[in-house]
Amino acid sequence: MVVVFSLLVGVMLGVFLHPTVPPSVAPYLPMAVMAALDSVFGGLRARLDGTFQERIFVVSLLANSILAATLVFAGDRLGVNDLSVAVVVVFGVRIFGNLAAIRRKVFHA
Amino acid sequence: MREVARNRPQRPASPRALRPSQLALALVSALLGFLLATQFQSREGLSTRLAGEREEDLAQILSNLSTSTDQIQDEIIDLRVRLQGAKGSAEQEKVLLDNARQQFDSLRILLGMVPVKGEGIVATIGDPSGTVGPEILLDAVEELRDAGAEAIDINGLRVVASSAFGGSPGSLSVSGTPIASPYVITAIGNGETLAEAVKIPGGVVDTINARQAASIIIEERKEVRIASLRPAPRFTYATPT
Repeated sequence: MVVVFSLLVGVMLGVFLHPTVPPSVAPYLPMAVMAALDSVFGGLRARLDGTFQERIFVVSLLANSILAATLVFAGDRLGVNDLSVAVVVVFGVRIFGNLAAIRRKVFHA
Repeated sequence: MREVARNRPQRPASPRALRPSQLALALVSALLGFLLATQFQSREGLSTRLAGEREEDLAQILSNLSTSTDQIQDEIIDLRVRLQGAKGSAEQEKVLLDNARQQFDSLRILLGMVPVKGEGIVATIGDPSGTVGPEILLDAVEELRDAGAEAIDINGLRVVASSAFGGSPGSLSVSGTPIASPYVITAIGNGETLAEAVKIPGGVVDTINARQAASIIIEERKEVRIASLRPAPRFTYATPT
């Protein structure tokens, strides 16, 4: 309940405040979102496994997001422009893995 | 990193109170929602989307765009040319069709296949004692044609190229159909010119007036009608070359 409610509040804030993303941060925000989504699905999976822990969820979400954004930023500075692809691939694979696990749990298939 | 790997048995939670961990969870969720909404919206505008791209990508996008612009320009030119061509041929067809239709109408009038009306004259020849021969009618018709008569009718019989005058004074016939006095010649054309033509010295009017008991009256009218028709001619031997 709390999660859904605050998620909605966050979405509302985003929609109504309509924040403009500064161009300097624009390439890194999607990475952070990717990481956050990965953590969300990981959390969902843990929940279904009965091993969900709020502290781990909160810390991993924040840490992953910041880490992903920082990594891509560092890559850009180092001249390794395609590090964002690596992040997308890694988190993509993880999200798919988590979704597959969730699917197995929910549908037993 | 993986939550599954580091699980600990869950502590029994009191569902009512909002514990600090739950508060943190709520905050993180709100942050996530905010991020998602922001990101989704920032992808909407083209300019903000382009602002997020790197230089190489921008160059790529630009070259893609100019290539497709070129292609589209070529397509526009090609289509314009085809449109012009189509318009031209449509126009030509229309002109041809109009010409053909005009020719068709002219020929139908000439062959006496349609009723006609227009400016013209009505010449009435009274010949109660039978002194007017077929040559006088032929003269009259020829004079009228010379003066530009476009359609001629004698006593309800259309006079066309193939019409013939026969018989003897008092019992005339047009293409085999007998006609009786008074002979009413209706001609369509410029009224003044037609009237002049039959009144010419030594012409039809003079010839008729020279005979005993014969008379001719010429009337110019703004509109005369010729309703008589001839069947369409059939050609057995002549073919267009």
